[in-house]
This record gives sequence, C-alpha cells and structure tokens, in this order.
Amino acid sequence: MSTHEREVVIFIPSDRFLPEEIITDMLVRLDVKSLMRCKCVCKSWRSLISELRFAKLHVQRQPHSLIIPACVHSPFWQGTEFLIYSFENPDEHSTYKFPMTIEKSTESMVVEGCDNGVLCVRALPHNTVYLWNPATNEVKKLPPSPASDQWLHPSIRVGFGYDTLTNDFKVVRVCAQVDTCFFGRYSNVAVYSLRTNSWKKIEMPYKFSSLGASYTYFFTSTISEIPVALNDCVHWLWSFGRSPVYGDVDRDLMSGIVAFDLSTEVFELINLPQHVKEFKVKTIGKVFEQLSFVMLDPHKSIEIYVMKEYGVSDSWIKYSTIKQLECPIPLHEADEYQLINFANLCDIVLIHSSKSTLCYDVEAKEFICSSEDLPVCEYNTYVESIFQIKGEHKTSDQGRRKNIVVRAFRFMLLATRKTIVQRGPFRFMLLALVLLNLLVLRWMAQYI
Amino acid sequence: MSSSSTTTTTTRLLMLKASDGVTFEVEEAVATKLGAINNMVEEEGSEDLICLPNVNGKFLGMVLEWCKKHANNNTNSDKGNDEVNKWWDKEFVMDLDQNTLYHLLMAADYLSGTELVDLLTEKVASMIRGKKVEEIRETFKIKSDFLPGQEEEIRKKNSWAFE
Repeated sequence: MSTHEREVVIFIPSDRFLPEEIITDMLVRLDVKSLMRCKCVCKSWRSLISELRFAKLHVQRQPHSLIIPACVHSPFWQGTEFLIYSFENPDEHSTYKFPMTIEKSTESMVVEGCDNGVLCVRALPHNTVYLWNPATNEVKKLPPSPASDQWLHPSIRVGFGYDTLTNDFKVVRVCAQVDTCFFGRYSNVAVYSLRTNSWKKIEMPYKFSSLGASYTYFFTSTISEIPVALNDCVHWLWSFGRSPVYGDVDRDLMSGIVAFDLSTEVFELINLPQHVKEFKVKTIGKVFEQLSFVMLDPHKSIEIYVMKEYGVSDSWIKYSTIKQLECPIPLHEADEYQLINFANLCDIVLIHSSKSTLCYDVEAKEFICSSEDLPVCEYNTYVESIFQIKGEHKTSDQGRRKNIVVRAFRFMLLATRKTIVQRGPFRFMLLALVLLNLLVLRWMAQYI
Repeated sequence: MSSSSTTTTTTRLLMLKASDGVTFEVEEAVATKLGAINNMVEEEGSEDLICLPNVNGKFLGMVLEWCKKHANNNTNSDKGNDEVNKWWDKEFVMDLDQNTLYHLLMAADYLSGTELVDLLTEKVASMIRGKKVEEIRETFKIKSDFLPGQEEEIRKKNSWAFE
C-alpha cells in the first residue's frame, strides 16, 4: 500500500512493522511526559514525535483543563504560580511555577491568551511578555516591543494565538495612549512572530487611529480583558474615534468588535447590532464556537447575542434573554461578567456581584449554580501540548511531500486539459477546478 | 424477543474466508461492523463469499467475536448495555499477548474496524503511559538505534520527564 511507504516502528514480532498511522494514533493518546520518554526509545519514534503534524494531532486529543493564577487561593502573594484543573478530575490540580526569574518589582502575571498549549503571559507593570509551555517547561522572554509606551497611562492590549497558515505563534500588542498635551488619543501596534523572534511595527487603519479601550473595561473592569481567539483572529471590544468632549465633531465615538487577523496581520471592524449601545456590552466571548457578547439592560434583562455567520454583521441573533425575574440577584448589583467557553464542552456566563457569583448555562438557558466565594480572575482553558517554543518542529519528510505535490500537479494538468478541449460553458468549471486544486494544495501543504 | 424475530426475516448470512482457508458464517449486520466488508457488500451486492487473504483465521475469529458483541448491543442500546460493552471490551484486551495484539491490530486496520482499532490502540498506549524508556523498549522489543551520546542529549534536554 502506497500510504505505508515509511515503515516507522519496530514492533512485536521484531521483524514486523506497524503502519505509521497506527503508531501515530497510539502516541497521540499519551501525555506530554510519556511522550518525552518515547522520544528516547528509537530514532523513528523521535522523528515522528518531533514533527509539527504530530504536535497538531496530539493537542486535539488532549483533555481540556482550566488554568488560573494561584494567588487567587492564597493569602500570600505568589504571582508566578498557576493552577491547572482537569475537567475529567476536578478534585485534583497541578501547580505550575513560572520557570524564569522575573523582575523583582513585578506586581502580577496575567495570562493574555492560551493556544495549542502555549500561554502568553504578561508581567505587570513592566509589560514584559513571555511565551510559556507549562507541559514541556519551555519559556521564552520576548524582546522589547518597538511600539513604545513612553507616555503616561498607556492602555496596552495584548492578543495571542497560533497562525495556522504560517504555523507560527504570534503576539499582537496594541498600545493606546492619551496624549495629555493635546487630549488626543494615539495608538501604535506591533506584531511578534515566534518563528523570526522579532517584532514588526504595523500601521493601524485610519478609522482606528484614535483607538481606545472600551470605556466599560477601561474604567470598571478589575480583570484584564482577554481577547477572544476565533478563526485565526483575536478580538477585542473597543471604542475608537474621538469623543465630542475633545471638540472633534467630524467623527463620533464609535465602537465595535475589532478583529486582528493573525495570518494577514490586518485589522477589521465587526459591527455590533445597530440598536446595541457599546456601553451596555459587558463582555465578548465565544458561544458554540461563534463570536458572541453579553449585554446588560440595567433593571430589565441580560441578553446574549451570537454571530451566526462569522464577520457578517447582519447575522447577529439574540440567543438568550435573562429577565430580572429569573435572575437570583438584582441586576443592578452585578458588577462583572465573564463569558467562558470550555472548549466545546459548555459555554457559561459568570455574573459576579459583591456578594456572590452566579453561573448561567447558555445552552440550557438556566442558572446552574452559585457560589459566595468564587473569585473574579482570569479563567483560561488549557490543553497540554508538545508545541515547541525554542527551536522549530520538523515538517514531514520533504521527499514524501514533494511526491504528493507532484502527483497533485499531474492531476491538475490532466483535469484542466480535459476541460480546455470542451471550452464554452465549461470555462467556469475550469476555473472552479483550478481553484479547487489550489485549495487542495494549500490544505496538503498544511498537513503533510 | 420481538426484535430478534424481525431481524431474522432480513438477516443475510455472509461467508468470510480467511487466508488459511478457514471460513466463518456470520450475519450481515455483524460483518458490516467492519468498514471494509460493509463496502464490499454495498458494492458487490449479491456476492456471499468474501475472501480475506490478509487475515489469518485465528485473528479473524477474534475480530468477528468482537463484532458480534457490538452488533447485538447496537440494536437495543441503553445505558446499562453500554456499561456491559465497556466491561466486555476491557476483558477482551486484558490478557492479549504482544503477538496477538499486533496481529489483531493489523487485522482490524485492514478490515477498517474503526472502533476496534481504537480499542486496541488505547490498549497499546496504556502499555506505554508512565513507563520508563527501558521498559518500553522491552515491551515492544525495540532496539535503540541512537548513536552513543545522542540519547543522553535528549534525556538531558527534558530531564524533568525522567524523574
């Protein structure tokens, strides 16, 4: 069989081989620690486990857990420890200590995002950014960003994610500042790529040129605003344009969800539904793997909106309404909202008030439980992975890849030649075929 | 037992012939748990004898035993049965020796018995989890092909995994 070209592993009995697919299927079930040992077993296992394709398959199989800063439970400040709770076994947790010494004056460490098992951590108030894989204990301090924050009161937002197109971890850092002399706002942006280990300054589109963090977050939120990662983009709720207070009449203060595409490094605006006022939106997040937000109409209701078709502003639908009568606490007492997506397992809204925290199940549209001592902190979902931060993964065997590309090319030639002969109404088919082929090639380049 | 009486009216028997000539007569519903056989039945239609030159009779028998168990329980699925199935699966893989495991896995893969492959690979994975490198090599009879020093280097790099 042509698919079993590579005989990877010696298996019982010693003169026989198991196909690579089965060995892969077996190894992806293992935890990171066991995998590290398996790398030592023989060369073929080592090269299989070192491949990027393997790392991708492996992370998909891993159980989901929750990562929270340890200081939440401890009366003593231990800013560099994080607790990981597994969903399968919530009674137990493991503690991970950040493996690098950090500046002494660091006040706190904030998880800015978590993708493919790699955490993006920011040390406050210095704004030093680290990438950290707790499972493999690899950590990297990012070089200083060129987007400087020399002015007072900068509002820095960091987005983090894995770009599946270039197979690279990227960090985007947006620094919005109030220029105290001119009462203007100013923002600068830089993107970091792990592959090149460098920052690149990029331009902010003009419409976002005086971008500021959403006022809601800016003034009222005690937790950091974790951007929502979806479709290779990171999303924030932001307001931009100048407020009339500053005497600028030509542009009103606008707001919406700003998406930054990690692959193309372009900013896009996703409008909120027209009737929704920005200051009423309490938090954005993911529900059923779709972009969504929680809106509060004080004294009346809490509404949860879901964007059915990504990027299409007309496709916002009101998924769920929580009326004041259904809510165990008066709505005006709620002061913090969190929309948490537990990786396809469930989507919940946490509603914090000074007395208690309520947990609302979005899918079932009901309150599930409440607690008097659930802290307000960043809850991130986490999966173990063997993604490397230092050094690069091998992409598969170049020879095998070339072989497949050549075969695909031949197929393209054959298919297009046939259609060219027929011409006329088939021209569209030809175009479609070429497009399809390109898609297939792109898909293969990614996985093989 | 009304369900069994309705199935007898529709049940077709298939003959499966293994590489060593051993033949098995099984209900279609059982054999089609295997993707490869399902495809053959759909494609060829009336063909009743299916030759499987890559599978030995002993292992084909075991694969079919698994299929029978799981096909039966599919017809009246409830939670209690699910538990029984799981328990049965556990027993099924419990005492498999290396040789049988290897051949079963190859047979299940060849016959596209996805669920069975899944069960067996999980069993193999459980033989690796938490084990030392030497133990893994011993279990799978793998000889280290690293150059002297190479292995040490990997161990050093990830020393935490070997504690």
